This record gives sequence, structure tokens and C-alpha cells, in this order.
Amino acid sequence: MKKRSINLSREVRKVKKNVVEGLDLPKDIMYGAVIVTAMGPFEAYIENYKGIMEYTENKIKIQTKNCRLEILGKKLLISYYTNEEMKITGTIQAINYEL
Amino acid sequence: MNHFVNYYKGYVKVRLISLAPERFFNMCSNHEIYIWNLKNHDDAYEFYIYRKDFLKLKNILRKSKSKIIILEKKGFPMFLFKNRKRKAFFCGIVIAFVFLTIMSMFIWDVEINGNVTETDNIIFDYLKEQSVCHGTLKSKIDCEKMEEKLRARFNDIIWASVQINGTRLIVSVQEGNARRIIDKKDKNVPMDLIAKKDGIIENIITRRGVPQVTKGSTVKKGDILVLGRIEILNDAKEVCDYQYCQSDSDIFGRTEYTYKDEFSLTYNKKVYTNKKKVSHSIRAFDYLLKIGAQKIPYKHYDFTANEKQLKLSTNFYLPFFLETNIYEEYKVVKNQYTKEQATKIEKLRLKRYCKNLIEKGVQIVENNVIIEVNKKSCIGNGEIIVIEPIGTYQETEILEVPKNTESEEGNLQ
Repeated sequence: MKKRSINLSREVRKVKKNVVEGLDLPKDIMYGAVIVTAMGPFEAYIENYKGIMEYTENKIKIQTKNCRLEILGKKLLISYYTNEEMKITGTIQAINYEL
Repeated sequence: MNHFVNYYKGYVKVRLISLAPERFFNMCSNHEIYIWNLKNHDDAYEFYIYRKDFLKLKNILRKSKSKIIILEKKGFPMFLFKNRKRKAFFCGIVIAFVFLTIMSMFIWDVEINGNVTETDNIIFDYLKEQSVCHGTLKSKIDCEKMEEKLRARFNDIIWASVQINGTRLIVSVQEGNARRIIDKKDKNVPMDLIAKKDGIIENIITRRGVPQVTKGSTVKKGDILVLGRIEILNDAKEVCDYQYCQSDSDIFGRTEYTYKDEFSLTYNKKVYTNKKKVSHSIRAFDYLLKIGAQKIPYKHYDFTANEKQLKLSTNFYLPFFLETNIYEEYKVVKNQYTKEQATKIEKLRLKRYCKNLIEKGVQIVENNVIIEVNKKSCIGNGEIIVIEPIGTYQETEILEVPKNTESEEGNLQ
């Protein structure tokens, strides 16, 4: 029974992937993927996230729908923070995804 | 722009001390509380938040077990609160607004466009007569009525537009190119055309009425040129009735203008001493505030006045004027024209006279002016022969119909 339900959800995911790719639908909406727009090492805009998990001067960890996003750097500052979007400034050294 | 919005809304800089700051931030974003410039200092966080949102924080603080300290208060609401006891300041703001609204209810500038033959002053005086001038309430002016009145009052004006723009009244007019030399009267009144001057008829085209003169006739002032009374004859060639009409005709006559002009050869020449005095004043309504010494130490001087109206924007004029008066001293030196100079000046004066005539719609045919220069003066003397419209209207004399039994019988038959 359990095996069947896993198989089913896998099937559903496969169909969804085919539909999204076949119809060329926007992936950020369909998969709930995080959008990271980085402008050089000084600025990054992040959209489609759930919340902040950790915030210190050197590290910002953000929870998104599918993964966790880790931004490492120095003197990181959140310029603004709303439900939809946030802007991070400072010196960004690395952007890591924890799948 | 963003700065302005922030200033208007009012915001505070706060320091957050919390064990779970992330929980606090996530709750903020869930409650749609906007925070910006979030900074981390060891275990404390500093950020900015709107004044309104700050008041909503109480619940979130309790849930996330955090403490908050206000570091700075900025913005307009805070400014008002800080200065709430300065009554004169607030009075000033209110008075300024009241002043602006009251000032914007009146006309403070009148602009007249498009007029050529009617001067600005004539139109302005007429507007004044109709009590439309500086200081009139805007609501009292009926633009459409004013347009009609302007057209009715001035015959030359064939189109008029009166417009209120801010505190400015803009009057635009269009004058007819076809000169109406004679005022058209009521169409029902029969009219003759009579000569307004002595002359010889050069050309006559009659559209209505009975012409009394032909090309080449000599007429005197007051002679009837075209009669507005048409005789109706019976078979016996006797007048049995009259019909009346308003004469209509183009009549050009050859007339003479006598030109006589004399001026003295000696004249006063202005020699400027390059000494100058400037005085300023401010005018509001009929009051004049003079600034600085007003006494003028010169015997002869040229006086130039500049007036500038104050305005808030292109169309918001205020009833205040800045006046700058410049006095330039000169000395009078007696001088004499030479013969050539005098002839030249006289020629110019004659030319100007002729130009004025042509502007009136007159065609110059001959110019018999002789310029003479004697010891004391220069004299221009002679006749200018021109062709000009010679007719003017006069009411037709209404005659009684001669009683003739024969004609009456004839009519009956």
C-alpha cells in the first residue's frame, strides 16, 4: 500500500514536470523555486522564500519551499525584508543550496 | 521619493535583544510589517520600522520573548509631536494656506493678445467698465458673456476668447482684416450714401440703390452719391410710389490732403552726464512702499520705470509689484540742424504721414509736397492726392407719395 502511494506521487511529479516543460510555464511559480538575483558581490535579491532561519554578520540562512539557502559573507545587512522579497547587501562570498 | 514617504510616515530605529531573532523577523513578515536596514551586532539586531508598525509589535514581542529598545525617532509625526507647544508656528502654517486660497480667488493679472488696431488700454478700460480687472473675484466673471460683450462693443473684433488661467485673465481677440469703414446700421432703415469729403469720383460700383454720380463727377461734402429711394413710375412716366432700401456701393474718390509741417532749426540736444540714480519700491494695490532716498538731485533727467509682478507659478500671479525707477541725468545743449539734416528729417516726417494714410486704406496717387529750408525753420508744404473710399451713410429722406388720380386708376385697371 505504502509503496503504491510513493509510486503514485512519483508519477504525479513526473506528469507535472512534463506539463510544466511542455507548456513552458514559469518554473518559479510551478515548483515554488527560490529566485536569487545577485549583483556582483555586493547585492542580492531573494524572492519566493518562507523565512529566515539564521542571521548573523557572516551568515544568512533562508528557508525556501524546496531547499535551504545559505549566504556567506562579511558585514551582511538586510536592506529590507518583506513577505515576498528581501535585499541583502554587504560582501557576499558564497551562495550555497542545501538540498 | 522613498525618503520622503518614510519621513511623512514617521519611523523609529530600534534595537532588538532576543534569543530567537529569526522567529521575530518571520513573524514580522507574516504580519506584513516592513523592516529595513537590518544589522547584526553580536547578539543584538538593529533595524528601522514605521511608527505605525511599531505599535503592532507588542504581541510579536511577547511570543518571541524579545525585548526592544528605541534608539531614534524620525519623521514628520514625531516632528509635530515635539513641536506641539509652538502655537505661533502652526498658526503660521494655517495662515499661509488661508492666504494662498484667498489670493487664488481673485484675478491679479490681465493679458490681452491679438489686438492690432484697438490698443491694450482701450480694451482694458472697457473691461474695467464691466468691472473685470485686477482684484475681481474669479467666480463673478462670466467668460462667455464677456466674449459676447467684447464683440458687440468693438466692431473690428470678430472673435474673442476670455479665459481664466490660475489668477490670470487671458483675453484673446482676432480683428477682422476687412475694414468696416462704415458702421452697418439696422437693415430696415433706408440709407443713402453721401460724400464725406470734396473730391472727384474715381470709381463706383453700386449693388443696391440708385447711383446719382458717375465716374469723373465732382462732388462736394454732403452730396448724395447713392440714393436709397427708388422711384416707381407708371405708364405716364409719373412717380406713383417709392421703394426704400439700404444703399450698398463701393465708391472711391480722388481727394486732396493738405500737408503743412514746420519745425525750428534750433533744437535742444540731450547730453548725458552718465550720472544715474536708481530707486526701488514695492506696490500692493494702491499702496506704495518706497525704499531708499527719493529726492532727485538733477534738473533734467530721463526717467525709466520697470515694473515686475510677483508670481508663484506661471499662472498664479500675486498683487504685488516690484518697481525699479532709473533716473539718468542729462544737460541741455542748444544745437542747430544743417540744411541737409533738416531736409532729411522733413522727408522722414512726410514718409511717416504717408504711411499713416496708407494704413487707413488710402491709395496715394500724387505727392506735391515741397520742402523748404530758411534761416530759422524747415517747412514742408503741399498737397497729397489720394484715392480713398468716400461714401458714408445717412438716413434716406422719406417722401410722401404724390397723389395722382390717373395713376391710381391705372393701378386699378
